[in-house]
Amino acid sequence: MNSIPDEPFRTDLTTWEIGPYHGSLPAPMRLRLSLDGEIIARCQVETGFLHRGLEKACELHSWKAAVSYADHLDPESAVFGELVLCLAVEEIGEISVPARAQFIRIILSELTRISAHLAFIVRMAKAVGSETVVHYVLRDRERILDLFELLTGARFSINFLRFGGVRADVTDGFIERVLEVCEMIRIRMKEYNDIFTFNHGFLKRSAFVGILPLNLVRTCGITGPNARASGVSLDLRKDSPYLGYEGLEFQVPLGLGEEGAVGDSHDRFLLRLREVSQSMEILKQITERVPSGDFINQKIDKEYVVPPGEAYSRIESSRGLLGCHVVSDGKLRPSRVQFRTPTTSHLMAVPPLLTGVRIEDLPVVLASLDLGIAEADR
Amino acid sequence: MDKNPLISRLNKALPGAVLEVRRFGRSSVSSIWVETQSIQKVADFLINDLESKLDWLENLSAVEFEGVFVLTYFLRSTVTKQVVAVRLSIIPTSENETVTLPSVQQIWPMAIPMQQDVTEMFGLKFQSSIVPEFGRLPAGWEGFPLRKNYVFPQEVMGISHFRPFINRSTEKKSFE
Amino acid sequence: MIGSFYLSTVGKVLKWARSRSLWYISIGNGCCADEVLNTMGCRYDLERFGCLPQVDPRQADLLIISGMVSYKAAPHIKNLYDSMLYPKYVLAVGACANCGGPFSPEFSYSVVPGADRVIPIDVYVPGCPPRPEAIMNGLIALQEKICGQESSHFEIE
Repeated sequence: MNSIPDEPFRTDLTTWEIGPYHGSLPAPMRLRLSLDGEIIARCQVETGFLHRGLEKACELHSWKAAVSYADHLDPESAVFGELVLCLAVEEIGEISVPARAQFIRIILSELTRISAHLAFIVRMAKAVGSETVVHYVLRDRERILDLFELLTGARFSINFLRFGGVRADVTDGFIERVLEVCEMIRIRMKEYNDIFTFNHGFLKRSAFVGILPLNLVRTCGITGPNARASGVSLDLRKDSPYLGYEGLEFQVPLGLGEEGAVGDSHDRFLLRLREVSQSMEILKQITERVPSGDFINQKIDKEYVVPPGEAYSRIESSRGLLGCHVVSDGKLRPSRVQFRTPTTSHLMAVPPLLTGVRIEDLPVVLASLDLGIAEADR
Repeated sequence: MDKNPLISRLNKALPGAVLEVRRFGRSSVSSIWVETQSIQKVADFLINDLESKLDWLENLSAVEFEGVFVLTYFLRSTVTKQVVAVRLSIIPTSENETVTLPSVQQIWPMAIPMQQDVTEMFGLKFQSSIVPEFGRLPAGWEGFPLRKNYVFPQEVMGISHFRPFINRSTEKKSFE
Repeated sequence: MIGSFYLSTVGKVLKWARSRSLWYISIGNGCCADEVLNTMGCRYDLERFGCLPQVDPRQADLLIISGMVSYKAAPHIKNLYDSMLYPKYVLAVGACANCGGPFSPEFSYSVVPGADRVIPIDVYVPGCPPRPEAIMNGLIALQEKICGQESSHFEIE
């Protein structure tokens, strides 16, 4: 528990610089901390070490290649970047998507969400030094990566979605294996709960630590699991459904603060575990009703041109609201592809959130925010 | 375009600020083109308007159309779920000039990183009090990368930024 | 007499020992960092090659650069490499670290076209991102290089 002294912090005592590459940081970023004893009094965050010029690279390539760049936006959950770009382009060109392709897209999104949340558990376990859980979760995550490999041929940057469908049809036995993996993860979740989630050591490290207040969620525009853990019910799958989410039954879990306060690090962890089980619910429903038919409507090649126009699409990625503004002027190359990434807002909340936190809790708070620096830096 | 109650209210409160109302692309969202210098007043009106309450700046995107910069503010209400796009345009007089325009960060605080992004990549400055110290590009970077006339650097920080030229046509022949 | 004994037998033992205890620090940038994490995980298990993740560069022999190197990060990576003690080796993982890959200088203004412009690199692992098997293969190639053997990997005839 944080014990914040009554007198104001003294900022002139010690200055620490951490990063950009350090074991306690989830991704390349640089922190400048002013410490008052053990407590962080002031914090500055510097990012940009992963700036690749992704939006410029999209403008210099053909429309087809823009998908593979969108895939590099967030390597951990590649399909969301592709999906948001495809949705925007399909709105500009009024391209219809076959029902079978929509179902494959939902299956891929939910599998990616589970995989990204499992990676989050890995980082969280690393932050508290629980090596066993790191290896257990990585073992189970490999099963999902195997599913990606079976469907798309790649483990990470899958480059699978196309404007108006997907690149390939599902192979035989894929649906059965998805259900198999869901069942396996459902059993494993109990195991994680036993050894990690409600372990008193982990509770002491994470409960009441880094409480994200509601006004900070509002002022910074935080979305996704971090906002839901603080009690803001915002999920685009429910609020403005895209693909076929309106026909599916699932719940949006909210932070309850069972073990600590609402919106603390442990609440954010628990919420992601609940989201994994909701994603498995969706997968169970969707695998029962995959329709037959085509998986793509049109042939996409290097000379593919999107008609002039613009669109803004947004989806719920594993980290929050991911938006994409696409402008086409009817030429071979996109005129502008702009991404609205959730981590940009999350990074804005890091300095006020870290103020008053003990230095030993810093890795836990940073890991619990699930920062995707790659997508913030673009 | 049918009469939108929000726009008639906006016209009544700030006459002359709204230039044009159109549909945004093919969607049902209305895009309101406003006068550049009046964006602060428009923003102030939109957040305090009781019926729409557009309190969340979801995205701020900048686009260059043939030398004209178009800024789009994608707004959303957390209460009424209404969505509106507010747009404005700026024309720089010379190629590498920075243009200054009013900031909206007092009204929507989440605009700070987005405005910083636009400043770095397009060279459009905002009259703001809070400027984050760190950007995404190394300190002392020249030029604005997302402008259409941006020329890639030859050398950055002592590292040459080009590869020896590979003649792909002769290479293909050797494979055949 | 003692000198030649040292150079032949003790040197061999030393090289063998060095190649089998490559403690590494990993610089994770982007997607290849995830594959390095998976290689560390229990299905592929990098530790059976004697590789142990380290936090302090002074205790590490191997620097794994996974993913692109931006101009902003380049001085920090150089700094990290300089603070490692000899003998030190570098493994570049992924197309971005090798030559820029999808973010090659024609398309990206902020990515160094190849990490070898910043620090010397011993083994290049191609792929975008490379599979864990490829990373392990690169590691074995590095071990053979340390032992002074001709690498049998990726020999194209």
